[in-house]
Amino acid sequence: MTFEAYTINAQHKDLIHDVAYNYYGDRLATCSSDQFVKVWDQDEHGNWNLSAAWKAHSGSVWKVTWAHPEYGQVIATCSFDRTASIWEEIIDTNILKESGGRQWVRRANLVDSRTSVTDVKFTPKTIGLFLTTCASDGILRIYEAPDIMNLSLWTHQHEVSSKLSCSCLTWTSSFNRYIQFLLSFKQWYLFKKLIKYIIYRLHVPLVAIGSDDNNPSAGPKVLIYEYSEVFRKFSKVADTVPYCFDAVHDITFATTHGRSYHLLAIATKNVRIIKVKPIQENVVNLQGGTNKFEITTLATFEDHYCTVWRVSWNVLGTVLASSGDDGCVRLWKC
Amino acid sequence: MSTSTFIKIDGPLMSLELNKEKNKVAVAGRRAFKIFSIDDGTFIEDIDLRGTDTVNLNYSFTDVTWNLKEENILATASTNGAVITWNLNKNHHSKQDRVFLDHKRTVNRIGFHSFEPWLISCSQDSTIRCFDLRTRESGRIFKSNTESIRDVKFSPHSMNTFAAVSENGALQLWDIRKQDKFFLQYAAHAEPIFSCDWHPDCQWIATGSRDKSIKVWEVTPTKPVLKYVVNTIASVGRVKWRPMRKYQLASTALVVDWNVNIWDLKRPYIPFACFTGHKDIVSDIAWRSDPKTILSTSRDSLLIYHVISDAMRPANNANPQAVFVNCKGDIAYSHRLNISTVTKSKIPNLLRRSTQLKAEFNQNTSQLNIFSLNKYPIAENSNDYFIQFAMQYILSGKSIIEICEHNSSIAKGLGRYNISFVWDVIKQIFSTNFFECEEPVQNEEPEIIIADREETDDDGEIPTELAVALEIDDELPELLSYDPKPQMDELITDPCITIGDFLFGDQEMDPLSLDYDNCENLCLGMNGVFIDKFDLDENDWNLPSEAFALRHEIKESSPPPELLPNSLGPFYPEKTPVPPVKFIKSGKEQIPLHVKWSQRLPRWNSSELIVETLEHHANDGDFQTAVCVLLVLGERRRYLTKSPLLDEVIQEQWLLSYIDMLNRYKLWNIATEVIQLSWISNVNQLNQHSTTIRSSCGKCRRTLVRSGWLCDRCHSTSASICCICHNVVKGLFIWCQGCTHGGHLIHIQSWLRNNRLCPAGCSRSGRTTQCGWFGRWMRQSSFTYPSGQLLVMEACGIPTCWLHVEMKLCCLGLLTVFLRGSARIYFQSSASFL
Repeated sequence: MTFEAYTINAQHKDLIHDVAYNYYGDRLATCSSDQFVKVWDQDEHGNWNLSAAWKAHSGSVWKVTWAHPEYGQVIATCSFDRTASIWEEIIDTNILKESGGRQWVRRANLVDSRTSVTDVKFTPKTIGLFLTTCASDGILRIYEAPDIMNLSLWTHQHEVSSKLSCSCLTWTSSFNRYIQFLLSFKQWYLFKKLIKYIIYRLHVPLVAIGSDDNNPSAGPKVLIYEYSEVFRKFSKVADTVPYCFDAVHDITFATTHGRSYHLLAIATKNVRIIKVKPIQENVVNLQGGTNKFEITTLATFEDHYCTVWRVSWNVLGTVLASSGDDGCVRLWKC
Repeated sequence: MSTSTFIKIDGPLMSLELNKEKNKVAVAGRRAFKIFSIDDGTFIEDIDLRGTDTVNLNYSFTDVTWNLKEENILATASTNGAVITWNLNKNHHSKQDRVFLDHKRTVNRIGFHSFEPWLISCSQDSTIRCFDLRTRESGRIFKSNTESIRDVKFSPHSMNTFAAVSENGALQLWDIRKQDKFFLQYAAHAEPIFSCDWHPDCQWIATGSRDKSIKVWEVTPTKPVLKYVVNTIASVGRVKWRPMRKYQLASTALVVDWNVNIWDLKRPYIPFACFTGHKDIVSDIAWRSDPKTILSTSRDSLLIYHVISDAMRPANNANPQAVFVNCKGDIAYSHRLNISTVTKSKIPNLLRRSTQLKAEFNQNTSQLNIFSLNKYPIAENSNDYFIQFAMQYILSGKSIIEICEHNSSIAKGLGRYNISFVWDVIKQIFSTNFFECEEPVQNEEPEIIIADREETDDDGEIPTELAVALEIDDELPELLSYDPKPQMDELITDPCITIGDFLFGDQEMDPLSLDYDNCENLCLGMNGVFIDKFDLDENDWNLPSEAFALRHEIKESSPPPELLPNSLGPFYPEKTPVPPVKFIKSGKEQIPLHVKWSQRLPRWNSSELIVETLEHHANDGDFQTAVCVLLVLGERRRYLTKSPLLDEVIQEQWLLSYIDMLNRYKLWNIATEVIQLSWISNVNQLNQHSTTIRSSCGKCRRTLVRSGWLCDRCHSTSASICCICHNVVKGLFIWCQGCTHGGHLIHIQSWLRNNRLCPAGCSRSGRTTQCGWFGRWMRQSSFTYPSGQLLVMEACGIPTCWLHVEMKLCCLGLLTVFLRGSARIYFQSSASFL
């Protein structure tokens, strides 16, 4: 592969902590310790132009993430100031200027955390419009927007405490759709078809969190939870990722795309790829019991020889990019 | 002293102050006033000055201060406005010295002059008073003309100057000799200022405000100059410069944050260090003489001795890098600049990081790079492959052979020979009537077995051919060794699969059935080895007509063969009767032998192989091939899904993945095609949702109700006027998405024949072609898009796009829809419009 490098003069006044492409890959959001979030748009010639910049928080902005475009142009940010925010781009029709009158407005500010919110992610679209945050006190929170047309209303659905300071979280994204029957779950016996989907659904949504706790004796630093939509609760996957005792800086599930297993990349002192394979049970889990998973380490790459900070899968889940303190971005192909 | 310690004192604490030697600390609160000695980090209680009096409001302290000159003199301020001095040298039980009751309301802060015997106090009553400890009179009064004064501090640099900050955001500088008016006032913050602190060395003053910021001002004779701003996460309660560190100061918050933060002015966005430990708002802080230890009191009644080595360093946990790969394969990478080059060594990370810590804190600029994949050559870029395949594949509309050939050649053209091979295999399997004859056999064979060999157990299911064969012919080692799930690779490389070897062996030949067996063998061989040049003509498989007559005979003797489930029939209408005949014929004449033959020579069950291939590709991330093969197979895929190997849920997931990827690449037309071709109801319904768009008035933005060209409320037709003939368009309105100008279809068409610019003269020529034109039927106020209708506007000679209705947009008015430039909208026009 050959790459052309293109440098954006981002003009953030402090470190950039996260960059995120949107769904289509033609918009880029950056966030920085200077408390600003910037959005860059790619024009027809492939150049990136600053489209918006605003002070989003009163602390370092750690992460930025895009919602699925079906919900509009929406991003979520989380910050050292202990909040997470939802931003939506709107058109102010009174200002039809160069920028097209576009403007980002804060739709919601989630203030439940007592400590720095270290990561924020939307759940896969198949579950609905949910937002998950994790904080350095180890609490994972999930919020739901019951009305997708009203992004200012987010209800705090659930929280789970991991007792380790969390640094990152990631969802599996598979495309099974099973949310529809949840509402009518109480009458499930009326809908034989729906039961079938409960039984045969391929992948339970999983969320993995990583901890940057430096103390190796504090236990494994990657925890995987299974999210049961029927009961709206998290349950820890019994045999959670073993052997991973070093501080974890980033963690990412590859998009599943019809694989029979999930691929989880972990950035710690090295790059690790973990395979999480559901042991196909086809058993109705109506009591909310956990499914069984077979967790194996597929690969460990030491090539960075120093702290690995970030990992990112390509959209097909075939190439993994990792970056470390050695200043290199390395691409790994299976 | 290397670790932090704490002591719990009854009652919430409001203030603390260290004596000159910094070995004693006085803490004061609503219900406590004590002095502790600090000995190697531990606190030893010296005196409890307050006693147990719970009534006297004089003892409800808000602040305490220690005389910097005479170390036995202390002063306290109270909520009722009293200022009390204390003399520790008094022999009396009560050390209370004097009480000034001049302030009418709560005294916020007090402070001694560094060498003069002056005590200064500020209060909610907006006055500042200065008491001379030598005289017994009440002190000078300074009226600030502002709201309450929150903090007051003598300047360490000039003996007559002090600074006062007030709740209206003003910073005032006073000369103690001029009682009437401050000599400088400055609106430092927009919100109340709660604290100020003079820099010990420079002419700087730091102010902390409710607006969550700390500002550092350089005091010049004319006006203060703003030097630095620190943005904190909460209202600032206290500010204290760090000794011996010119650019660092400590702050506490009034809400939310229970930590003591140390800020570096050179990197004002993230705390240099955070001291944790309190469970409530930190009320006051004081540095010891060295920059490494700080004491803090809190409303949680703790007095904590912090050591900087125990502090949290938030910047260390902040990742300095970011990587993101987008759907095009581009990589956005941001990293800290000036990274000291790390040589490849295996020194443990911890060691190296700790030495770099200090240097790293001030390296706080990032560089943002985007590495975009070179488009040429296409090799190695799986995303480009994906798009190319998606655009060039044919999924329906032709015969399966043509489709497979076409798709195979495309894969070959792109250099993906394994995918090309898959298509070839699919073509071979499904193009010959070998496959097609297999289905009926599968159904009928058990019946024959039952008729001829009663010992074969029949549990109502159709046993797979192979299982039966193995069961019966276990004396045949050749058959046992036959891998029931043949791997393609093995078959290709296996030289020993030859016709004679495998099929005949030492078995007795039946001359009558020889022809048919031969055919069958050839066919099996072909499927195993995939000899392309051996082109099997369908006609070879047509049986002599006599077979048909015989078939009916048997039909009478055995139960009539059931039709295959549902729709299999229509796909093989002309061939279904053919295959059974062969068995019947041979069965008639050589029943025992033939049954053995037919069982021992099972047809190779290609469904397993196909399923396995597809799953293999999907697991490799190439679900595209899997989905496309399934789509191309059409109804034949029932043959695969009948086996439990390929669950419908898996198919659904492949389909949804594929549609999602197509959407990412904005290949909406192909996505619609896939949705329409899909066979799973969940997927098929995807484009039945949210297909209605309502239009709203261009003037008042209300939703149109009756018709699309007249607003019932404001009676405006301005949005529906043809920009060429200036009449209201009541039929089909064509407009440009870029500039929203439009008009009658005929007018626009004729205009575009000769012009490229927008007829309204807004010089949006470039946009028209990019955005496409969109038509709207003005007689209706809303319209529903039948799913998957394409390409109508193109027929009118106008460039067209296709509407992908994003759910959110549907509920907005149509005019709003296309004004939302940030939202990507793709218009699909529908035949029902015209």
